[in-house]
Amino acid sequence: MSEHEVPRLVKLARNGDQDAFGELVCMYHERVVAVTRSIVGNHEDGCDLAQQTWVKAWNKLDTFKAQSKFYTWIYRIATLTCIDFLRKRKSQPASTGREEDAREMEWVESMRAARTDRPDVRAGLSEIRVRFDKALEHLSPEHRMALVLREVEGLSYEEIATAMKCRKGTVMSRLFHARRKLQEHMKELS
Amino acid sequence: MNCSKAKKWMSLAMDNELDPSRRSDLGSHLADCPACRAQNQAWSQFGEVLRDGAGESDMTAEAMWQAVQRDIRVGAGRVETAPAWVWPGLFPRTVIVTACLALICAGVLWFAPPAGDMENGAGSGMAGVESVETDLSEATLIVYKDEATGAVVVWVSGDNGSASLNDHS
Ligand SMILES: [Zn+2]
Repeated sequence: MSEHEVPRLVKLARNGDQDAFGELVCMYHERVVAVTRSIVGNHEDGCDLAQQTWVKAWNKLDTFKAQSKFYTWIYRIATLTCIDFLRKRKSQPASTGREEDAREMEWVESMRAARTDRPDVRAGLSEIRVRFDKALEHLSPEHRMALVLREVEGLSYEEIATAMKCRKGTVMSRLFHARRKLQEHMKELS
Repeated sequence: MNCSKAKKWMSLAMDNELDPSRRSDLGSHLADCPACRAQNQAWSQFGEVLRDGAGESDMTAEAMWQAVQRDIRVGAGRVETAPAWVWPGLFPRTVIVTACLALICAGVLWFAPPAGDMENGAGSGMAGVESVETDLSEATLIVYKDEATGAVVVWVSGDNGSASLNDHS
């Protein structure tokens, strides 16, 4: 199934064709789950939120504008669903980070080591992963969303701005602050 | 270039949003500044870790679609509608809301001083006429008190017809 088919499938789905909508779900399933899982940081909630995203999309199909890209539209629903979930889940603790270059270098080295095939160093990856996920939890939903859309989905600033309904400059600033804060929290947790 | 500017440009560069001339300036700064170089390396790892964590879903697309379809069939996510007994179907919601407003206005009018006591009161005939426009485009509400008969009349007019209530008490 190619992306050229999307406008036709959307049109059919808007007229109530569930099979056409099912094809859209199958086409974008992996990408939507990748976004929701990366934003909320766990598999189970990620799948649950992806499911909620598709149900919302079905109910909101009449608000989709034919000239926009379907994936930007579905990412917007997915990320808003995740933001809602994260806001309900907990309030964010305040940052108390301090610059420590040595720890930063240590983390870079450990990441480099984790990419090797050696089992002993691979074992360290799960520990880093846990730390990374914890650090990710400290980011605001908007920062997390911008980072995931950029790093996981490879969306351009323009596309992220459309998905997040903000200016391109805001995307730029959110990504910069997301990276800076993520790094601070990684250092705190090491 | 100072380190603060370099950090902003680093973020743009890793997203392929930095123009080539600035990219070479940034390259020169990174070559000379170990702190920024370390930060650049750290930031570029974030994407890898995120993508690694996103991984492949072990829920198949078909399983997802089945789950979504189940929700769609039971109407999950749809706006909750009121049970049938709330809106018997005889009047649209706007008319019923307007009628409630009308009853409140009628009460106010009933306890208000007679039109003759008002500075601008005409004192005869349909002296106490009150007309209230609601913000509901579908319905118009008119409440008046007939001074001659003492009746309060509530008149609701809408796209779906009109109705009136007469209070002779
Ligand atoms: Zn520097």
